[in-house]
Amino acid sequence: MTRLRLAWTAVLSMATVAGVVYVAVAPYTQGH
Amino acid sequence: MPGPLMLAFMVLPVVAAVVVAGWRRGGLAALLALRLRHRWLVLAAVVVQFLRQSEPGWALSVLRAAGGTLPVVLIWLLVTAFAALNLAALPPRGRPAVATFLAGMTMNTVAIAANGGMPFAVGSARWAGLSEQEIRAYVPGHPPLTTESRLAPLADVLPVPGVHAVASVGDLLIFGGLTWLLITIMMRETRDPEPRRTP
Repeated sequence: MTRLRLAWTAVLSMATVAGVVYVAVAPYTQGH
Repeated sequence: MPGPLMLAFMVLPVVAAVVVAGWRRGGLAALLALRLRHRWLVLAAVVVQFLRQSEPGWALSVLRAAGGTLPVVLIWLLVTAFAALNLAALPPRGRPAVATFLAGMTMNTVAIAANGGMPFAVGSARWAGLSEQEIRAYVPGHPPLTTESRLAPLADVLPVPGVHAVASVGDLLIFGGLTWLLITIMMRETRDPEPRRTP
């Protein structure tokens, strides 16, 4: 159970970091 | 879809932080075990950013309201609120990094709000390696920089040749602040080790 919770926390952490990076950096994907 | 180089650019802050501090004992674990609150704010910002880029017909009236600045200001509000509500969960040395990140987002938001989009310098785009066709193509939220543009120093004026992009000073602060923040999170574990137990 503890391992599952740790894994879930890790997934949420990575998803949050990825979300912040996307929001901050996504304008670059437009080309200029 | 962004190309491979562009995707690499997008994950640059995470990769740079992992290279600098991820190899340390407990570094990655500290990042993965981060307990943040109100994650829905980031999810909401992601949804708004995705809609802003894809511009679906049913959302155009909202996305283009106030010269297209409404979604940008909304994203700024969501991310700023998320950062403010989670400051206590971050290492104290990471707080200046959060301030740097938010300063960059604020500078970009102000430039976009003042111009109805983030202007880009055509000369810098050429220097970055963009073709004339790419420069002339309509890109939502990215008008060319002209003499009538406001707050020109905050616009996309810095060429990034490797990824064929033009960045702003705010972008640099966003990248630097985010990388700095991730490094401080991963180094917290090694700076404050648990006391050893004596047998």
